Amino acid sequence: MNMEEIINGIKQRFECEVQVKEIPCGVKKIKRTSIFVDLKREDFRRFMDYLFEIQEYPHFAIISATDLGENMELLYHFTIDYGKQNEEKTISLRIKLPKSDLRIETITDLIPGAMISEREIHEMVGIEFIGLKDTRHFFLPENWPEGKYPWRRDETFPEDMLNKLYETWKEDDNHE
Amino acid sequence: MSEHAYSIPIGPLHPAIHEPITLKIDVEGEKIVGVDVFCSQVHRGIEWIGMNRNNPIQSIYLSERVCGICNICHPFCMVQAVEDAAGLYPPERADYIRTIMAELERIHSHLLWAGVAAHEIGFDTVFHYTWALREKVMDLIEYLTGNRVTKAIMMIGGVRRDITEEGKKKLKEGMQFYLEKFAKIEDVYFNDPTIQMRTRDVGILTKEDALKLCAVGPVARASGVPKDVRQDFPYGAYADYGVKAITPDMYNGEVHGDVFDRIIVRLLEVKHSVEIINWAVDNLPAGPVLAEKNLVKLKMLLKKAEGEGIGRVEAPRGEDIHYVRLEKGKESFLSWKIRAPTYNNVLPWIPMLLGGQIADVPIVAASTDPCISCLNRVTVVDERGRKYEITKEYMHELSVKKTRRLMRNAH
Repeated sequence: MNMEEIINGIKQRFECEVQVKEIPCGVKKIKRTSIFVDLKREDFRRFMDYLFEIQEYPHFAIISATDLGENMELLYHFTIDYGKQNEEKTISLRIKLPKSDLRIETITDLIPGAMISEREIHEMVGIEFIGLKDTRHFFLPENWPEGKYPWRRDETFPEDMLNKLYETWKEDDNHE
Repeated sequence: MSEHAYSIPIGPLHPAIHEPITLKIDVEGEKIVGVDVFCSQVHRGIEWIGMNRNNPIQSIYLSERVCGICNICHPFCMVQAVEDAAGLYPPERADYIRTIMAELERIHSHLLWAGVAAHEIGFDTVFHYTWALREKVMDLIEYLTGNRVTKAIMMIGGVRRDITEEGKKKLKEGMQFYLEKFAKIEDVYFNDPTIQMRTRDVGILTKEDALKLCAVGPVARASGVPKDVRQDFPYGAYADYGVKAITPDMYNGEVHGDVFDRIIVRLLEVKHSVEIINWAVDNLPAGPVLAEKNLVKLKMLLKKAEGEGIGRVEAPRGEDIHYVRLEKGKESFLSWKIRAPTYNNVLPWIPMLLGGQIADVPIVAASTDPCISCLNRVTVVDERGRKYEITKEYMHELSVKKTRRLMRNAH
């Protein structure tokens, strides 16, 4: 499936903004393609179905999260058309969630390989994945305090847990 | 889990991976019936430092320290993402030098892995032989970058060091050395009956599981998924060369998805990397190696830039992806996400280990190419609460004994 077909397909089915980046590299200046799609939360599962239509097993890379103050932004990075010379494209789905309602459906039923990433985002920024069966900590220790999220830029950031080495040194410390 | 099952926690320091990791394995006798994985030991918060303390140039050196072995591909990935976000692209020569560096890293990483795999099944002579061969590429890396490990060659908009005529000559000599030695490595690993006995049909990952669990790199390719970022997604000089993903059927026409196939894929990739380096040295374009030489200007440019970018690199272990977002007026990244290849290759351990034996855990875990250096502190707890410990040494001994047993039975 070529680029125009994919972009037209997305625009026909969803009310969203699509941004395409093409970056040349090397001497022959062959381009690599990244597609960013701004999506509403309601359309998310429908978009996943569309993704499975254009690629039998879309490759899931990672979810990245950004704290934008009022909202949390999730970017689901997928790739399609892998296994073909210079044809692979990344599709990044951007979904904004208001901090008052940080919930989104899981995709682990479609892509089991997304489990670690969903657990990571769950513990690092506090997004609730509806339908995610395993919500134990993966990267943070088991006794991590509840309601503290290290990748947030607001009051839920565990400020008191920061290790500030420069504060441990005092004028009258004896270094002999 | 039946009442005869034992639960064996392996780890947290650390059965297989660069970060400490815990494997909880349920066994009945020697058969593995359940596997669970945990990572929650030492999260270093590298992304947080990049998002809060460092400027992007400092973060290059921080990203080098994500991994001791992949310390080209992480900064490579990161600078690509930043270049993408800021719209500052490297000159052609830099693309080629980056490619050469990434391939040197692949050679050293795959040889290191092959040595570890041989050690895990009790072939220490092969282990020493392979690691002795690896020294040549380490010397080359040291000659070209000044360091054996953290190479500090990547820079946003290019590379920090050029390759001289003398360097080209040394690279060619080094690659000739590997082409000559490859036949012997091939013979040792591919034709030895004991290696085949220990690794054939052990730790199988089916193609479907590989696709569903999003496995990457040699693990996915050994299961017959022709997925290779160098082939699929143009970056560096790879698109000019036209890389073909290596799957085990290229060697013997069949795909098993087992540990032996992973050995085949990695060793063939060593040869492939040698070819890529030879080609890149011959076709190295002339010109500058940096888009912006002045670091202060570069820092200001990045501070003013606004945008986001994705960097993807085929690391020795598979697809590595970095996502970077820059905000105007903010020195550090607004957002930085690192996804190292092992992240995706941990879940495939579960289907690989299920139904296997405890003695196969080291080689199966090692076959996805994590670091096996600290498989210490394994505690066995049985249902009635009695505890005893299995150390890494004991587990290694079990593995060696199995090899010996198989060798005896074969004769």
